[in-house]
Amino acid sequence: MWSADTLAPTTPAPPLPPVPSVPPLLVASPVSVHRLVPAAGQFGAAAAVPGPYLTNGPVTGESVLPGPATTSVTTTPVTAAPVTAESVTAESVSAPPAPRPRRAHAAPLPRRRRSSCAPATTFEAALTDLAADGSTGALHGPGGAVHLAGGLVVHAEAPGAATVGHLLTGAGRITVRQWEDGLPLGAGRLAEHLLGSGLVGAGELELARLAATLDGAQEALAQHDGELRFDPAAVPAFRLARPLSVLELRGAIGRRRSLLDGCWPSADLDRAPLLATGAAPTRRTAVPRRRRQALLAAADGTRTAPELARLLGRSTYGTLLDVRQLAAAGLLTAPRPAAVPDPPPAAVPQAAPPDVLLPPGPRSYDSSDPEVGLLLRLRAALEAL
Amino acid sequence: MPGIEECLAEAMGIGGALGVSLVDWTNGLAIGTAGLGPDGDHEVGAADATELARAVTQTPSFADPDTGAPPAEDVIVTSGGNYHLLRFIPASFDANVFLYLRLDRDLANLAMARLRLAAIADRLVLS
Repeated sequence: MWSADTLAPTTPAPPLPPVPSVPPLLVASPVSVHRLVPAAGQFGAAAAVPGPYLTNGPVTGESVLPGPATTSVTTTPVTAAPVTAESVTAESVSAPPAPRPRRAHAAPLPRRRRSSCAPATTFEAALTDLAADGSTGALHGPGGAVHLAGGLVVHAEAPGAATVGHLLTGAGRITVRQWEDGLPLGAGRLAEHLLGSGLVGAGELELARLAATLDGAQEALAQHDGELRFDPAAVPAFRLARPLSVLELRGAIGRRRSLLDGCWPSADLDRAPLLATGAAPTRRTAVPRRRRQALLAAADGTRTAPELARLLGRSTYGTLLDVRQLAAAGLLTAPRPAAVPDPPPAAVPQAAPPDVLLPPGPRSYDSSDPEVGLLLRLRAALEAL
Repeated sequence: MPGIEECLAEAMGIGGALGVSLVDWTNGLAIGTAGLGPDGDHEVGAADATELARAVTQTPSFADPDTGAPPAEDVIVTSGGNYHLLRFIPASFDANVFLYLRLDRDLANLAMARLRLAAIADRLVLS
């Protein structure tokens, strides 16, 4: 897509756009300023490394500050992996012998394509940088992974999202047994096995690959916390016949989300256990009757939308679309509030008073009393001095 | 069992065909293209056709949900110089895709083109 030779600057300092007060990197990235300035300062020395996300070591100072949500909390995801093998070799091979002069201001980020849709999460930002470098490998996060080949997206997966196997077996195209027979072949050869055995047509397999990739990418791109890791040696289970650019992928995911929000503008039901209300619909829905009935029958108050999708052999996205339409018609609800994905940061662990100083036996004070607790913390802090 | 490219090439063999694309209406991606898009741009054509497909699949009046059948079979738009044919793919799983075929109105036989496109759409997913 953007080959490095066409987009890497041949001159050390291309002219800046006319609004230089805030460099574009700082506008386009969700990462706050105080973290990026030192990262951008390293840019000149580490120009051959895929991006600042992979060059920084973990920031230990933030991980020991479990305070309430401040700006520093949002920056912790950037504490990405150590420099990978690929990036080390790339640096040693292609870095010029003389170090480039350090720029006084933040690097103008020559290789990231700036557009109206700036990366919204740290995962998107890291993926955009890796793609701009033409990287091959997989960007892993705790909530999903995206595989690149030559900077183009060939596969994506997420723990809760439907896979090609779920789609094909759930739709009755192949049996679970036939699918499991192909699994020992390993990543990359499963597609040949399915096509060669005549079980699945080429067109249908490609549609399944695309549906699974988009389902996985929708989860993966939304990751904004957790450690990201780039593995240049990862081999995807399937490869899209027509790989997508990261810009295409992000645009596609954005349009999928806006279609969901157009049906029912709340993501509350996306992860909550769902229950059919049994009430008469307040309006007609466009969900075909059989799909609707199967979904409502399976919504027993214990399964979430991704679990329903796997149970019914449907794509996660198609199920979410149905769920939101049925919720808008009053047919589905969440029996209890959704599990809070990000619980508030735990209270500052109180330094317990050293046991040796306490008399044995039951304590004579009520530690649940806030004033007593405050005194205990004060004492512990004084003793720690 | 033809792949996507073979199906698109076959669709270009329909009399009067100007361009064809396979589009996912949940996200507007042109999964495959052949011939020329509207104004030479398949991406814009796919995005515009997606709006039309969503209007059909997401509204109860057109989707006809109580028949139990898949939402819609096709959409035909007739403009000054062209026929626009949208054919939804009856995939067994949630592949929300359709074939978008543009035809020259002077050269094409609309009824024949509709039947041939339907056959191509069925063959794309049914082995």
